[in-house]
Amino acid sequence: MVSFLAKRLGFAVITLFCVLTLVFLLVRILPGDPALVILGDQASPESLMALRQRLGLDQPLPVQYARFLMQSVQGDLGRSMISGRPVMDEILTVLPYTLELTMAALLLGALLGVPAGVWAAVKRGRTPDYILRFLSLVGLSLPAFVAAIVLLMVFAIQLRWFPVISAGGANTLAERLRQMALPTLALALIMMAYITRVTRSAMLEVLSQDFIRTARAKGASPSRVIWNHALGNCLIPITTVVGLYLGILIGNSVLTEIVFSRPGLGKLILSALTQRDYTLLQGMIVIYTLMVVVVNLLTDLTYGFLDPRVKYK
Amino acid sequence: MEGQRILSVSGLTVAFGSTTVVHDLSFDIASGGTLAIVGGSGSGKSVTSLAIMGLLQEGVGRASGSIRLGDQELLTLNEAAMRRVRGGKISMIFQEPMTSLNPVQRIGDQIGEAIRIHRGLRGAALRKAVLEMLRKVRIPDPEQRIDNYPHMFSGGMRQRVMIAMALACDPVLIIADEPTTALDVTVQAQTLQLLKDLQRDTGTALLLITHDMGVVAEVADHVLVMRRGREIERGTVHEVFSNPRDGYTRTLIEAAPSLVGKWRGRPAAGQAVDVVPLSFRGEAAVLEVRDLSVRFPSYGGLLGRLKGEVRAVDHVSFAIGQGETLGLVGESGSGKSTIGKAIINLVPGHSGGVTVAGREVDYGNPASLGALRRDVQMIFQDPFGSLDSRQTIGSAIIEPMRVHGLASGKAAVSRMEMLLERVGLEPSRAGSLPHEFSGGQRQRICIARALAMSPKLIIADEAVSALDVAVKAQILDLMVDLQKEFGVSYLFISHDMAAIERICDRIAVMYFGEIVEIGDRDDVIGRPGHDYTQRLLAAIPITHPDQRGLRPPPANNSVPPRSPLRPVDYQSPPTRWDMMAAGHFIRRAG
Amino acid sequence: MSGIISESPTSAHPRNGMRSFLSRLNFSTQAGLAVLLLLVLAAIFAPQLATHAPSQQSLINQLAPPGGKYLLGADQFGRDIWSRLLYGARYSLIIGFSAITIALVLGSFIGMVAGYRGGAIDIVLMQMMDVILAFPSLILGLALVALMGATVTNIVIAIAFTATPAFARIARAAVMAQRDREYVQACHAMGFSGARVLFRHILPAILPEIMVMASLWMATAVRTEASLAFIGLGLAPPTPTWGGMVREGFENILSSFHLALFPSMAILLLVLAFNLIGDGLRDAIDPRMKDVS
Repeated sequence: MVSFLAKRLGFAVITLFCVLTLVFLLVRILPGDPALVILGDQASPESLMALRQRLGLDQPLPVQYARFLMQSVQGDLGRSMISGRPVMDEILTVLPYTLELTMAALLLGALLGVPAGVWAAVKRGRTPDYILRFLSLVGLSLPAFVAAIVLLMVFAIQLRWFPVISAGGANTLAERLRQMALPTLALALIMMAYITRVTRSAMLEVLSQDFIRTARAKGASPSRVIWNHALGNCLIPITTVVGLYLGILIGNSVLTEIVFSRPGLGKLILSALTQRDYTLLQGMIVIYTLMVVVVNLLTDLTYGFLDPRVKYK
Repeated sequence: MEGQRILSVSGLTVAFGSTTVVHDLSFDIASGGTLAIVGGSGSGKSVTSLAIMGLLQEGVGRASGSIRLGDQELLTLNEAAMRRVRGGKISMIFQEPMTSLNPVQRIGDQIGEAIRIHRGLRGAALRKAVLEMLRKVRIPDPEQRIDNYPHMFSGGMRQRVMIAMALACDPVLIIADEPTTALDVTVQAQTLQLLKDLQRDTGTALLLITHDMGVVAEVADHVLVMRRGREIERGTVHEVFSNPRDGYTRTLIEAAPSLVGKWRGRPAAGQAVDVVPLSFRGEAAVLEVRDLSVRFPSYGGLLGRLKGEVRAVDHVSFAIGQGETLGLVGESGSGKSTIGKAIINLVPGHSGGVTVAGREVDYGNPASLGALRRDVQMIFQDPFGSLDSRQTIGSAIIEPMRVHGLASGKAAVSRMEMLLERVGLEPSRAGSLPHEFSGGQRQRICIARALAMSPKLIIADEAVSALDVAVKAQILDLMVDLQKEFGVSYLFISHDMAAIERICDRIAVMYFGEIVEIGDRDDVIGRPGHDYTQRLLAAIPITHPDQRGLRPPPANNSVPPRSPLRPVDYQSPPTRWDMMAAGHFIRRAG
Repeated sequence: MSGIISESPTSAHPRNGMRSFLSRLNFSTQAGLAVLLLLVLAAIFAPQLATHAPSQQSLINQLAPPGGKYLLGADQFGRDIWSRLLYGARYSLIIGFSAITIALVLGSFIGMVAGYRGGAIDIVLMQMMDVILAFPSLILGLALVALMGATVTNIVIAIAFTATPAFARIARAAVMAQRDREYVQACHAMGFSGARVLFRHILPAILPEIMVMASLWMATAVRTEASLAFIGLGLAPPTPTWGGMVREGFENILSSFHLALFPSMAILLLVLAFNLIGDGLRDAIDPRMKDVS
């Protein structure tokens, strides 16, 4: 167990190190001089020089790289080129909004997707199966912004059940939930589609295995066979997929936040892009990646609880 | 000894869609009695057992006729009532102990589930009942094992868990579908013995589904032989074995290992020797293997350090003469297949000397390796898996000739056609894909492909183990004929004593990576010297029910299985050998 | 010690030949192929099918509703949505096909070599792939396009970059599943070279799996391209891209929702077509799923 943890942590650290290097290189190879971008074409050579010095851009690349690594490890992602605030503060201000949105969407997607997938597998080859398969295929074909726009058009503009803009200003929990409902649903529908599909195929695979026949030969009822014997063996593939698609979910949250004008990492990265705030962009990519790496680590750990055969070697 | 009628099946017909797989089958089983339904693959024997359990796939398989359990008609029973029968009155043991247990549940819970459903026990009483079952099937340390998961058990132990599950609710009938087929022969003997003992104690009726006449001779009272969904012969076990009426039954009986009569007693005391000479028959050795070892590094610990080595093969030496067949026999994990693969460099980490046709093989030298690959060919267990399913069989036979520049163009095609004819296939079928052939035909194709290279040695790795008994005999005969015609030598690797006995001139017995006994076939089988060889031979099922009790009960293995894991710098103790007869050597313990 | 092999030849097995292949395809694949064919034809014959030039503005017809002169209405500059959709299909298809072709060739090669050779090469190559996978793909694509500039080439590179690890992983897993099969061992035993075994015997065996992946990733590529354009990282206006059209339409969503609706549906249709094809193909090549379709 301990050695498995150490190994997975080691891989995570290597991955993060590579990511930091890649991000550093990406931002450095871009065309254009950040100082020029910040101060504009009219800036004097002296002020440009001064800014470069302040940003450390006058140093040789290896020195910049070393400093970037050291600071990142200490949680210092530099200061925003535009607002001058520490990047970490900027991110931490809006991170809770994105986390709350993605976690709610994940939970909702799993709560709806797992039973739907089990049902489709049990009704395999019959009408409910075909309908669910088609709907889930539509669901995972849906770009997140299309899902968000359709929900917005129907439930916020036509029916007026929910606010069009979900930006802040909510004082009560009810109001807050009302603001969250549509963006969460948009993401959850897509997540549900993925989870339905993987649950169905994992379920079909497990249901064809010998030990299911053993359970039936014992006289176990169909519901007991499905929920007690089969689903327990499906949890690993489902967890894998959930872990894998969390990256997609995080990407999709950007689109949903834009459609609903909701504060969060999505809006922040958009403003970093439009304002060419490279330190902010660089810091955000690091944070996004950190989230994926942590999720992968958690997924690996979950296997041990779900499957006694995983010996953490 | 036999009591009242427990199960009576009459006019049972099972159909999948428009295909009927079981035709008008009728039989009875009395309490305490054992009926064996025997047949090859596709005979409908397993489908029959599933029909009795009501486990045919819903909407796909249909059963008609009558299946009565006591006074109860099972075919018309609704699903809820059928569930009370399943596991309660009739229980089942399946072939594959490795996959028939739920991998994520503790075995105690899995046995307990049946007891809970049918006997309604809960909590401490349930645990007590499960422990009692584990003791009954003689699983050591039940208190501790009850909380283990299936992957912590060996195949034989898992099958015991299955038996415990089947017996847990005192069923009136147990259906055992090939219960020992997936097990090693020594484990198979112990499991059969256990099943027999438990049946005697409980008076349960047993329906045994098998393809193995040896198992039938061992335990059955009555026999029903099936082929293509129909009964072709039935009777008491003595009638069927002593006087089989149908040709197919005779084939099945003949296919069982017939070794009992060959045993000629224990050998006289041997003469200690320091070195075993490489003996072979004939004038020149085609293959010499000296001190062959195969070691796999084993990593562990916090930083994945080298923990030790698994010695899959440890200092093995033998030779094969021209036109000779050496059998390499042993149970799974004994390293026998690894030896074959090491000789042609298919596994990493082998050391020692290999000489083929007088030339020492230099595994680092491409030219030497190329020569090895021409001179030595291999035939594998699964004749479908070892052919590329997208390549026509003609092309599969020609490709190695072209790659090695032995023949090309018309010459290669005509040699391919000649070879197809020699292995008994129509040369006109050269353009067909492997899936258009049966298992036996595919193995003929593999043999033709091996012969295309005019090899001096063919390594046959479990080459007939996956084939039906009748086909197995044909392929063995073909191999013998081709040996005479082409003068090729065989290294015949198998766990199947009958096949080994049929084709081999000499036999080497493998146990945990080492050869423990080697010698002429009649010496090794007739006067086995090593404990393990004796155990192996004693475990082989008898071939006639009259032989029951004639042979000593299979001794429980007193020596615990050794871990093949060794420290890196481990030095094997010097081996001591005894010579029993000319060319017959056994390894002394120690 | 596996089960006994049946003595009857297994009949249900793919035979070569394009026609028999097509006729065996399930409904899902056929429907997907039909939709895709329609959209490809629309893209090719865009000049013939278009009623207006895609960038032709008309001040008096701003936000014209669907029907009449403008089949699907006009946008806020009075440009014909139908015509812009037809031309937009070209960009979605070209970018998707190019990106996935690059990713397929590159990724499959990396994965096949890693899976076949194993050892250090495997570890290094796959660790590289894992690093790319650690980025949420949309964020990575977004960062790449933002830094390099939104041109067709750059968008293709960005999407290909994010898709390559997926192909490497599937190819590696498929090769490793084949590597220990007996027919591969038989090839080695006969002294065939590594390249011959890998490309002559293993590649054809794993190709169906890779093609399924390609189809499913085409869907992702189209979706990613549209998402980038929606964020504002698509080809510069007035180039008609579907994602860009949704973006512009979204600004007028309260008054004229058809502006965003039609391009949204076009994106959904194309993505769905690729998913239907991939899903259907997967069922067709997976024997376990045979009786389902």
